[in-house]
Amino acid sequence: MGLTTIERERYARQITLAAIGLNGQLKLKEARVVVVGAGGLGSVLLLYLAAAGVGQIVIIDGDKVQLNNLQRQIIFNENDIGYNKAEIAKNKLLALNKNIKVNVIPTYITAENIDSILIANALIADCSDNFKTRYLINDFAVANHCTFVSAAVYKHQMQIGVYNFNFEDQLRSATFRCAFPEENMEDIQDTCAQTGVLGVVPGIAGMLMTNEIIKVITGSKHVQYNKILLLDTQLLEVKQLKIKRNLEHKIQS
Amino acid sequence: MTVNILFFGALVEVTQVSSMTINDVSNTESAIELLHKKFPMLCHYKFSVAVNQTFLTDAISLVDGDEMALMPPFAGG
Repeated sequence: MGLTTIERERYARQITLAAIGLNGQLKLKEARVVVVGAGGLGSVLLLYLAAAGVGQIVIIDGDKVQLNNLQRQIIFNENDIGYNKAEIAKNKLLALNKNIKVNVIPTYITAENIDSILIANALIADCSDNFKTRYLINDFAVANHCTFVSAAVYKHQMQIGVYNFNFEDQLRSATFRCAFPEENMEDIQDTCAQTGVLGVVPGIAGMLMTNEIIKVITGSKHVQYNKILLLDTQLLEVKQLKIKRNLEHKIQS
Repeated sequence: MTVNILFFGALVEVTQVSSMTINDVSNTESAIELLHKKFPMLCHYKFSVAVNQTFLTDAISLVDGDEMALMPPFAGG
């Protein structure tokens, strides 16, 4: 599979970059990204993945668009209220780029269905909004050799990481659970609905996730693994904390 | 001996500061014990500890000038 003349024109501005080039663009075309959550993080990430020419995108979300989503979930508009987010997002992505494939799984990830929904060896974008799903994705990814890029927001702050990344032969990087092994997070009241969030915060986080995903796909040497990036958008301060892979936290049964 | 403590996420609402210094603590366990006494509400929060920009898996000794970050995981998306 090569790039068509139209594709070379469409992606010309990024093909010009040494970090992408024709080879990188072809890798993007041949890539598949599984996106869990089409909310504040996912709606921005999905648009940029489609715009960049990622060949296959799988969108998983059981939620419906609500009025109070529109403040930050910019892939949706008022006409979409009441409809499934994954289905609507698919239509928006295909309107942006009809040359990509978009598959929809209009349901929530649970412990019971995750093995039949997620795909072994996949590149996963964790755009979920709760700890239960985040740990489910973490443990599936570790057991099934998936790299996952994850971000989460708290008010004006965000955390972003590239986890379980196959950075060298048989070696994989630290995971979300390596940094946060604590169980029973469900009691923490930490959703956007409870704490509030400014729309641009998940938007920036979604873009930074997309940036890492593009680096993973194109084989960049600059993938930011074994660390968590923390960005405070009020103070515009960035901090990076290193994580060591801890196999004791590989899988929680 | 002085250790610089950084707080993130919801912990800032408990402490009302994003950073502070503490003195005379020999390791991370005694530092956390001191912080729990100073901010009793901290016991309701789950967080990981990083010293000098590296997450810890076990308690370690602290030396003068160390930076200790208390980082809760975020969930919002």
